[in-house]
Amino acid sequence: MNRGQTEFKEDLRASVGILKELMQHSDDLVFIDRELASGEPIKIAYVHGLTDDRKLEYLLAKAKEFGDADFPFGSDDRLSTAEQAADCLAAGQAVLLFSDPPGAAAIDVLGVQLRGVEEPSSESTVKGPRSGFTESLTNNLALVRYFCPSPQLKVQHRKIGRLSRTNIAVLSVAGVTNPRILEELHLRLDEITTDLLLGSTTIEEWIADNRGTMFPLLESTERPDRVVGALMDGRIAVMVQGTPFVVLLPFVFLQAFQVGEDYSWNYYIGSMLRLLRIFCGLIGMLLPAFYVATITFHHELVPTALLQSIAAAKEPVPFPAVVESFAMMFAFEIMREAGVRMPKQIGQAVSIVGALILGQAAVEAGIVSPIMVIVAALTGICTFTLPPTAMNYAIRLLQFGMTFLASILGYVGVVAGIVVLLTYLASLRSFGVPYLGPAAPFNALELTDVVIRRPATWNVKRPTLFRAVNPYRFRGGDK
Amino acid sequence: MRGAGRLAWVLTALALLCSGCRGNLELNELHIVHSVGLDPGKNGGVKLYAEVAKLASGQQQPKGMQNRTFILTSEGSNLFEAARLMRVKSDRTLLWGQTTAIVISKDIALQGMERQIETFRRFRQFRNTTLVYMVDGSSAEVLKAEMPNSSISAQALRGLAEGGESTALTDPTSLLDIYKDWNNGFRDIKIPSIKVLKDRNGGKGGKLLKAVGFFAFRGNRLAGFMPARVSKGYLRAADRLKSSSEKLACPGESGTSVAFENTKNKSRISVSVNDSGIPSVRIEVDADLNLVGATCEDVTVTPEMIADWEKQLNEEIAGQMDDFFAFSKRHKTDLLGIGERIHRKHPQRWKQMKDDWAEIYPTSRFSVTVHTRIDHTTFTV
Repeated sequence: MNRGQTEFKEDLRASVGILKELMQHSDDLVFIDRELASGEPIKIAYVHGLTDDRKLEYLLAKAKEFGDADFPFGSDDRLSTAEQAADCLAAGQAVLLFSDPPGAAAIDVLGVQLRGVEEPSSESTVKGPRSGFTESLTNNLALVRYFCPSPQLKVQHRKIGRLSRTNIAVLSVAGVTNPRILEELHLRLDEITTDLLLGSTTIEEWIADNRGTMFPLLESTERPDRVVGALMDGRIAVMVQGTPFVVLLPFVFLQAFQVGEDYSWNYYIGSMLRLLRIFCGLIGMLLPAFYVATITFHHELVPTALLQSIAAAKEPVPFPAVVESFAMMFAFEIMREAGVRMPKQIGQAVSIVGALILGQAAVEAGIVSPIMVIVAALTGICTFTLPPTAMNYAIRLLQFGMTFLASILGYVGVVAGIVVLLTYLASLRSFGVPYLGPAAPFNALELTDVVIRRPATWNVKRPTLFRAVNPYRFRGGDK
Repeated sequence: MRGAGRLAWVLTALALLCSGCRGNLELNELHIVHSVGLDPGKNGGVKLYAEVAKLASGQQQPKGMQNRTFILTSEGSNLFEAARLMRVKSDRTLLWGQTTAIVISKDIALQGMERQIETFRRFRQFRNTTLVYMVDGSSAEVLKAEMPNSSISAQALRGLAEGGESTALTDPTSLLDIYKDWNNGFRDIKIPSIKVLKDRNGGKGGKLLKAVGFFAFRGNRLAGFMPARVSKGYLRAADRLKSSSEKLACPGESGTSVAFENTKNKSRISVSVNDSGIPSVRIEVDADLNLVGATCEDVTVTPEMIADWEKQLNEEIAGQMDDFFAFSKRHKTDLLGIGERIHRKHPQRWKQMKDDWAEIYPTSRFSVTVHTRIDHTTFTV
């Protein structure tokens, strides 16, 4: 018996007192008296509201028919200490207290009202699977197993959070996932000393290679098909109880421009969509900067007719182009954030007020030029083409930095910004994998499947970036 | 160490701020110059005109290239001084980099073009693709002219240059073309001519522009004006003709003609020098034409008639080129780069000829062979 651990007593009332003490005399803790078939009195404890009524009723009704160690429910587990019993109660299990010999057992009767499997709103698709994860870890694991019914799929459960004791599951594929990366993940998980694990982002921040970067070093997804795809690449998934977002690792920069739907379309369409997203990412980051640099430093580069139009539109605007640009980008971010936070019923009103009334009025009042409205709108729309990962937000933040550099140094500033950015990105690692891979270090063959979408029959090998144990997806003649 | 690092960051940021901010100019602090005119000034100086587009006021819709223009004028002892002094009449900085066309007065060219070309070369603001025109008269008249649907004359000048592709009466010539020929010395330069016409249809005393012919140079000096037929002959010989129209008189009729569209023109020049040092230039021209119109009384097209037309067209095209050769010999202007061709083919002979090339060139013997083919008669029976 460890120090600080409390044993159960022969007197059930004493054991109940210990449990009440450990559970802070919570009013929702319920104790019910029952007898086993042998006539031995037992106590059944559970937390009101955390249990599935049907399972609980069945347990209560059938308790007297069972022997002292014969329970009809799943993970019956003998508990040796009162602290373990308290943990189980908090996790939604029912605890049966015995007097002879003194002890307890936990039975899974968890039943919390959760939403069903729906299409994830943040990763919707036109073509492809429509199921998304929910807040239930069990359901999420079942979904992955449904999409990939392979005995090689390995699930390792852990509890993280000194107080929250949140269940997490680490998913890998035996014979594919690199054991050293898996081991490194467990080492990093061991180091998490937080008292509360709420959602997957906390895990991301604890286990990322660089906690000070705004670029996502781990991927987050709500889609089981994406998780299965990642597992087959040799990556690892971390699921957290209570969140539909699953963490995938390692993650490289160019994966931010991929969505699972690419593989649901013909490879020409998939490739075109990927290229379009990369192009939109560049526009999202650089268009305001190039606009400001061009119309304040490099007027000669614009075709005369276009410059004349821009100049005519800019004529009544009293602000420098950079101020105009920042104002529009800032206004766009406000409208976007308001649109996300507002209830859906009035979100539409916000977008109409923002886009039509504010934009039109600002142009008519001569505060911003129509061209700037076009630039800001195009930039904003382009960022929406990217999957809604943290990369999306990082690119939006970079807009401001690049535009500032453009305003003081023109194209030289933009190029300097790009060079610094690329250097910084090249210095990042995700679980030891270079963040700019396969572009740097350069691997032409793998880059083709990142920038464009190769036909599935060409993808004989898994990406070497993730150091899969078995580098081949299939070989000639393999079934 | 950390303090030094921070100081380095601050100094870098300050350096960036201090070095960069001077180079930027907001668009509403600029006047966009669309075209430039050059006239002779007093005491050998230069009078400079700049066509600047007016911008719509805040309450009006932006009109882009449909805005009205105004002309700024200044005079200086040289082009740079005149350009700099123009700022005293302008409330905004002048943006020269968007200049579409430069119009040079013939009188400037008569004084020698070398100085002006040199100045333009040193002006880094001008694009290499800026078009160059010459006018017999004041360049200001050209800048003030208004073409229908293009109130900015620079746009009219660009449009007229592009029209040369179908008329073969002008050819776009850019600053780069002039620099290239000037520096390499391979051939003499030519600059398209522009004329100002009264717009009789407008009825408001408006003026129209017309681009026909070239001013040819002999080295630094203006040699002469090449009229339409000579210009067409030059473009054919120089293999720069893309399309044109030709006509032949109907046999036995007056006031009627058969019209052809020249769809292809390919010329090949070969040179040789005989023992007495006289250059012989042989030019072969392949021309494809289509029959596009006939006002003759009998227009029944027969193979014999086509053969006859082809023969007449051979003579007509050869005649155009002969006119050009006569012009170039008379004005001693080697626009086809015959001297350079001799230099490349007979380098040893060229060493003996190059000093007297201006005298030798007019003695050159030109022979032309034209192979005309009428592809389509486009007449259905």
